[in-house]
Amino acid sequence: MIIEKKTEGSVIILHLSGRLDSNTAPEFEAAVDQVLSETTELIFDFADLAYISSAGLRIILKAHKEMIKKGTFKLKHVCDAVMDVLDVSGFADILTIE
Amino acid sequence: MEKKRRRLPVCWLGIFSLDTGELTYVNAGHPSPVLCRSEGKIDYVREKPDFVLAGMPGVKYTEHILKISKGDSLFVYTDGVTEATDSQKQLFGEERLLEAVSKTSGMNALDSLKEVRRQVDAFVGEGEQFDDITMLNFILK
Repeated sequence: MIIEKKTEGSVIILHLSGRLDSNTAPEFEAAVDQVLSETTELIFDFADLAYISSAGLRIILKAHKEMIKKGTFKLKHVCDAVMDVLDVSGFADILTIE
Repeated sequence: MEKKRRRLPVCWLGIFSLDTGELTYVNAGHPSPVLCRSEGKIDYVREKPDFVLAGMPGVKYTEHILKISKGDSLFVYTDGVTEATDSQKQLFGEERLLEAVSKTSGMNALDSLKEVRRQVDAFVGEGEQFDDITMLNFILK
């Protein structure tokens, strides 16, 4: 998995490529923990994310809970396979997905 | 050292009434079970799942009712089954699971689980197992 961090004004975008599963989740969580204190507008860009497991969902939930207190949090460019997982876990109902 | 595993709790809870033949259930982010009707029709129980268990405060969980008749069966499983992965990173997936379950028609519950497990193992081959595989088959006799 490759994580790219982009800053656009006050917005921080984390762009993920590859698979977010129990092997890659710790690396992504470390990146998320770092940016949570740095921004009030956070975007995860999933354009090149092929797969997400429950380990990845847990990090999304953590980011959602933190950002709900202080700003905005969005997912962008979610592919069908990842969207299916967000739907079946009920995550699609609570998140902002563009 | 064992990798620390933190997960999201999901739950599928059903209460079956022998008097009415009604299965009342809620689904908190759990994969959809497979329902096999006695006449051979087989498909996922596709209601929209609610959010994972205790994921956020104030989440409401919806009750659903399913009529179960003699000879019907309901196969409930964890996502370690559909997300079992072969060495090419292919997932076992819902389509293969549906086919695997359909091949267990007429078996008792224990044999049906062993058969599905055998098919999952055959698919995974040398791939690594990284999630639990838990299955339950409820057959109304």
